[in-house]
Amino acid sequence: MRMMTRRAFLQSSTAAGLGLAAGCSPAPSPGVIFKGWVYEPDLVRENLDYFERQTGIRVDYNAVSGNYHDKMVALHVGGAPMECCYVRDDDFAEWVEAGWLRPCDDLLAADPDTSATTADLFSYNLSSMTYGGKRYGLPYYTDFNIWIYNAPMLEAAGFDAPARTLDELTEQAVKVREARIRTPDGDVIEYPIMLNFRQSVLGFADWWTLNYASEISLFDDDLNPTFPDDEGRRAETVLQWLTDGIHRHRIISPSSLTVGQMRDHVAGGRQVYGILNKYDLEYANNRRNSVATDEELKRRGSDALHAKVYRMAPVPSISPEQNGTLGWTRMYSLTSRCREDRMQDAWALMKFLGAKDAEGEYYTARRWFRLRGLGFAYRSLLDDPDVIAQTEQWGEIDKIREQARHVRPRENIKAPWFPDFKIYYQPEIQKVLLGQQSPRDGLARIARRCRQLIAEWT
Amino acid sequence: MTVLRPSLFMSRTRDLLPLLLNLPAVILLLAFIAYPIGISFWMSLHRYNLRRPDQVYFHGLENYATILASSEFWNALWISLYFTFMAVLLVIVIAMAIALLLHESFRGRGVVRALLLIPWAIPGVVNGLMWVGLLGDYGAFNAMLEDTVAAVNYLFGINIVYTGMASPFVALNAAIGAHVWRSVPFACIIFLAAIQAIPTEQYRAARVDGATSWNRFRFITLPWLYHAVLVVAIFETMNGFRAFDLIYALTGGGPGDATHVIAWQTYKEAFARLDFGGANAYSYLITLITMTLAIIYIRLLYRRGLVQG
Repeated sequence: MRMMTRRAFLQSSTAAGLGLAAGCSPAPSPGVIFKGWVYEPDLVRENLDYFERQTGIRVDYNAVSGNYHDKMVALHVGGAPMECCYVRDDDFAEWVEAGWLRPCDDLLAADPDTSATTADLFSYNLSSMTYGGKRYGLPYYTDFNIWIYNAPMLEAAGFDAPARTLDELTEQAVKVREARIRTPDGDVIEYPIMLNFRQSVLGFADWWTLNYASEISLFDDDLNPTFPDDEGRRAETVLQWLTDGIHRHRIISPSSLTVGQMRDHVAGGRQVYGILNKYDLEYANNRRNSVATDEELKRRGSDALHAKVYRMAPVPSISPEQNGTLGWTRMYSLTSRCREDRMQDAWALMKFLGAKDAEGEYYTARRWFRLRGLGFAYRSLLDDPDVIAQTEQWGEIDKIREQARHVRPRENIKAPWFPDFKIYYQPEIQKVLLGQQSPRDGLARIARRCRQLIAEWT
Repeated sequence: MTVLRPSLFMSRTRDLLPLLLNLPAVILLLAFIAYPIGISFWMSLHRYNLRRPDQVYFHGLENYATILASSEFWNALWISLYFTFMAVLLVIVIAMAIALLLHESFRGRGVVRALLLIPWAIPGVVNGLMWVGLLGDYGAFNAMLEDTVAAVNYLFGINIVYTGMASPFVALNAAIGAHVWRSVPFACIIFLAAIQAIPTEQYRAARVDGATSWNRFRFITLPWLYHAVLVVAIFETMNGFRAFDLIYALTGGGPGDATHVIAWQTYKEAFARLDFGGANAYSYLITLITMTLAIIYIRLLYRRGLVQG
């Protein structure tokens, strides 16, 4: 065997080390660097492949796994090269304030075709992408929360329509509970209503939804909290209804405080009522995902993919004439580190993904809707025959159109103190739901903290 | 005879050589350990919120003062102290019992010892997710607890409403249980190594003197294990105070603020509020508390003469 001398070993080690170091040094990407959270990365890649074929622009796409907000914060702070990325409206103001996003007004002004799509946007989406009078993004997808009910279960309990008001819902849900409806697995449904009150980055949308359903303004124009002494103390009424629903009437599952993925519970046929993202209605009524739908289609002897087992209805409110719900926006934004020589390519990508493609079509938004039922920010798509036909397989377009007229984003989402508010109000509301404090005390504590934060941040 | 003395140059070279050879390691330690520790402490003395990158300035101990004046900190501290106390106690007792069992000779002992390591090898988040499954609405442990509560209600004619992980008591103690489950193997290995070092003559002599099993454990095994207990206690105290990944996956801090341990507060400061000044101050407070507890352990055991220096 040939022996290696110490000198030769040192020389080859040094050479290998230098080689590795050279290999590890970052080379500038030839394409547009684009990052997003992990949602159907294969479909995203397919969209990008189509874009690359249309335009000849290369896209370096990376799906950021895990907690998107936290990882993106690390990437932004570390100055990772990135032309554009997904942004949630929850994080939008924070990222603008931190200087991580670049406004796109100049690019819009120079691009009349894309600029024209602004008029087609739902107002809450446009508002959600604007900060300090500047526009920062184009929409990825958007949606709103809907009230859903399991139609066959409600029928089995002797009802042909869901309750409209919170009081009627209490009465109806008690009767449904007493009817001892069973899940497809044969378990008795102990609590007909399941809501999502788990503490999480995007949690507590159901609290906002129920408040907006009763047309409650939780904050005034200066973002001062109106509760607990809002008009008619309705915020307190809603919270009291929730607390009573858990402890007194036992119609709302206590697991509402811990359950993560609501759509899986719905798809499992384990609840009669609930609040769902509108696009998840397609998921819940698709037999590939939903035991409840599969069972119903088997019972009918149908080989269809969808059935309208879960139906949407106006979110129950304090009074029957009230209507409203929560909406949110996910957008594509340019980062402040977007390279100048990639700016136009990045904008072309943004347009393709968030507005129209080279052929003047809302290609990406339509494709997301067609494949996954994702909501879109463009009003005209609600009148598109393909969209209507597809929606009717699992939902009701008229109800969607009507609900879309009453969507509101969270009022304080663009306050610089929103992240501080978010981590404070969720445990406080949970304490109310646990019976550890009264709704009024809980709301008063949250309001007090809001005022402290306002003072701190202004 | 002429005495050959090394030149001054040679002498200095010989003195410097060890330093030079150690220099790469020292540089790496300074770069990857000392520098981050130093910079994070320096940051803890600043107002440094990423949402206001243009307003970074030195403000002394204000972050510490703000934290110490907040009810969230004290609440988190008490929860962490309870979490850590219960975790340390349970880990020591269970690990010692298992170690004593595994010290005995029986068929398949090697396999059991190997299996014991599995929980230790599981990452914290995975452990949390596994327990989410077990303690969730349709989990086996949840069903067992629910049935137990139902049986108690039936036997005693009472009406305890079982709400599973939505109960603050269940959530916190379930988190402790999951933490203990993962921590026991490491402690067990330490105890097992310590038990194997105990001279067998002492047991033989005790038997000759008619000592019972309990007395043999109390007067021979336990004193020999004090050093191991100290090591486990310090490790587990640190782990208890740093418990975050499990809480993140299992309870998300809820219900209410029942599982808002101090590491969770630190995470919220850093990544929810983007207040890196405050988060670093929290980290140093955790370090301070852990160090204080470690010193107390060592002092207590030294004072009693249970651990030799």
